[in-house]
Amino acid sequence: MNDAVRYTARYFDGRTARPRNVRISIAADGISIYRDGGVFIAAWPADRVVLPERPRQDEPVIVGLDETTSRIAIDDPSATQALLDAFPRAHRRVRTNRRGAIKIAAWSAGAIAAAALLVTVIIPLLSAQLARQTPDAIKHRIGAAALEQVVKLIAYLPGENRRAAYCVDGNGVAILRRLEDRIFAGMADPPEIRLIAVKAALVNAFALPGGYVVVTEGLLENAESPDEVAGVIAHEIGHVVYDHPTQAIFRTTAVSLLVSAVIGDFTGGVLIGAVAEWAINSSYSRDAEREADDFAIERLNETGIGGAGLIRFFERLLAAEGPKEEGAMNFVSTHPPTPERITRIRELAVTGKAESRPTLTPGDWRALQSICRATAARPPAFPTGAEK
Amino acid sequence: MDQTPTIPASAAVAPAGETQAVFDGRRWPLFRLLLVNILLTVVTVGIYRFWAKTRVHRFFWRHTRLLGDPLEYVGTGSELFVGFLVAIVILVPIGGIYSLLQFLTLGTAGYLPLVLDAAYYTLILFLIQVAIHRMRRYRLTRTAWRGIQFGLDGSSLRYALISFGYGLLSAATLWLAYPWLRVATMRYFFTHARFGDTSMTLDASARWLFRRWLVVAIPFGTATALLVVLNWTAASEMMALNQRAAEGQDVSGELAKIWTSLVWWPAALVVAGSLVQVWYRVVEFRYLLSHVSIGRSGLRSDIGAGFVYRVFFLFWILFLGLATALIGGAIAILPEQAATAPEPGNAKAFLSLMTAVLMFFAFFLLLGLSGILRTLLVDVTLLKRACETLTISNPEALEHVAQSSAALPSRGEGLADALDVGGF
Repeated sequence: MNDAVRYTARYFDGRTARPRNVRISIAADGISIYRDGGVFIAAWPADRVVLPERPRQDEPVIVGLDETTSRIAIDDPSATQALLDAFPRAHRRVRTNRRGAIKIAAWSAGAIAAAALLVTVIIPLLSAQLARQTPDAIKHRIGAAALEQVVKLIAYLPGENRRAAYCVDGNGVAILRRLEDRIFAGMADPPEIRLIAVKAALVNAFALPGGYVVVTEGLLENAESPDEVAGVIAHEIGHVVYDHPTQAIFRTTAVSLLVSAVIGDFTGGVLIGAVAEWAINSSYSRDAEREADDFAIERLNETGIGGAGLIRFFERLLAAEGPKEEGAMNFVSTHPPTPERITRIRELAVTGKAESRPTLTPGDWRALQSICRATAARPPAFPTGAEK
Repeated sequence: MDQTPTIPASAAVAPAGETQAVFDGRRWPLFRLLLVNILLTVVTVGIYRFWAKTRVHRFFWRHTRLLGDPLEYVGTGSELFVGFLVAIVILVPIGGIYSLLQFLTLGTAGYLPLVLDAAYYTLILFLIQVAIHRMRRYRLTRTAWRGIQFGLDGSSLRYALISFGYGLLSAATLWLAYPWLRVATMRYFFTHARFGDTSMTLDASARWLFRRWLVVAIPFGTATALLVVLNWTAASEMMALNQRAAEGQDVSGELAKIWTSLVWWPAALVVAGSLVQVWYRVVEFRYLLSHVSIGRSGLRSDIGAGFVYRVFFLFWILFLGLATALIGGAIAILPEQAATAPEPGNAKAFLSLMTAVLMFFAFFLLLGLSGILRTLLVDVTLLKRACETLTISNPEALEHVAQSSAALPSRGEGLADALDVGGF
């Protein structure tokens, strides 16, 4: 023990809170602790000596006995080097930060993988299953409540007149029904839908739970032919057929639960959370749009309406609006057209007129475009599934 | 703030008349620590926050010295992380069931959705109380001084019941009984807290606090009541004005008037209320701490409200200055972008995207900086002051405290993290 280094120190034995002024000797095999008079008190074996804090300048060096709260505080800063020389393991122990960093990275990777699995597989499956299990009566009720909210929301957008109004002109409504029948022509077991027009300058169409399909007056006016309107409605019916609106409710709830759980309450977490939710939800809606497009193409091909109208409408919308998101409306299952979608529809849809029968006569088309001549503050009543 | 000289580890018990507690953490190292923490937390989408919190705790504990010896924080990030996972397992199903029930009752008339909401928020409020006790237990058991660990016994359920019961009493008495809530919960905490094997006690009277509380409650209550009475019809007037505005009438003058009575006066009231409340908080802190004893040693605090006001004042000035600079800066950059943007068509979309990105960035920066600013200017300064004004009577008695053999909880404060229970 010739190479032992000695220091005066303050010793806390971990049994009582009484501090003791001691002399310690640091050697390769451990630390020996003596009372001032030289009486031996304790020995710490080398493999249990730890440095609980990284030694810092101008601060006393704290040495610990592993897995206890026994501590020795040494004033002399040169003790740091003596300790690191004698106990390289204690030194490594100080740098557990690095090992800790690897562990953190591993845990983070695991957590991200688990979250990715939830987002890509489990949440879509679960929300589809829950949507299937939801009774129609509940979907209708939710759809009706959502309809009222969304229409009110639209009425307060800039450029609207702050009053929710549903278009109820008798002639126009009858033609809307005829258009619906035309889209379903020849389809076995068509879904029950509730096609509604609302008075709003906004060019939009959307589907809600319970089979509600809404088109705006702005859309009817912006469309240049009944084929365009038929294409858009067929697309929205596609959402109804796959029950996307109901799934979207379960999905957005699950996503927001997940995101808020993972992100927690750190600074700026709310912002990151909102961005994450938006990104996840819009990735879901891309898939949904494709499914709805496929349904629309199938119907348009089948009924001889053809895809040309839908393509024209989407192209015009794309040129006017640019490829950007519309306002965030949770239940509104609409998505702006993208060049990719238009290309896809062009590939799959019959664009030449297979049939000479027009979708609507010029007179009927005019009547449909003026469906908002008469408006009501409440949506028109539809028979519920039970009454039908 | 002067630099506090480092106190030698072998210093004997500080002589009477000198400060017995100091916080000697410097702001610059803390600033670097906080900055790295925020960056790592953002990069890891929040997962790093458990380790970040641990590092901050270690800093604060290490630099808090009682009778010359520092506190030591022995908690780890992994413990917090595991606690968080457990909390997720408890909370996500609760949230899921609530969402499902909410979905099933959506659009139904009657009281069902209201009852559901009330039940859910009651449960969450209760869980928050449970979380508070568990968080305190975790932090105390992870705190050591002179080689002896602190501890907290008692049950978190029992704490939650007491807190909840007195909370209801407070609400029922229009918050007049608030001091009883504070004394009851703090008494449960302190009588179950211990240093090693030595229990703490809190010998405080709610009646004493009540008289001070009235100083806050009476002016604030009177002003609120007055405001409500004077503006009884303002909300319906507002709706009528909205209706008229929808019909195209110019109502801006009347609207401004109602805006003043519906928004500016209540806002002023809230500001005034919080200002008075700071005084009560300081008085309460001083009073409660001065009635805590640890075995045969006692604590005493002499912190004054004037200092606390100065600290908050400085913080708010700096914060508002920072906010103005950041938001002003973001707005100032925009017009230049507009001038150099490509021709119309894409220009509009480009500009709105730029605005969104800039606003997002400015807001994020502000959030992060204000958090750091708060820790550096408010937390550090107040802790320093609280230490300097703390005296420990009969400190020799503490030397007889022995280590306790009670078991340590193995998990971190997950529930508190998930439920956003903050603070020290």
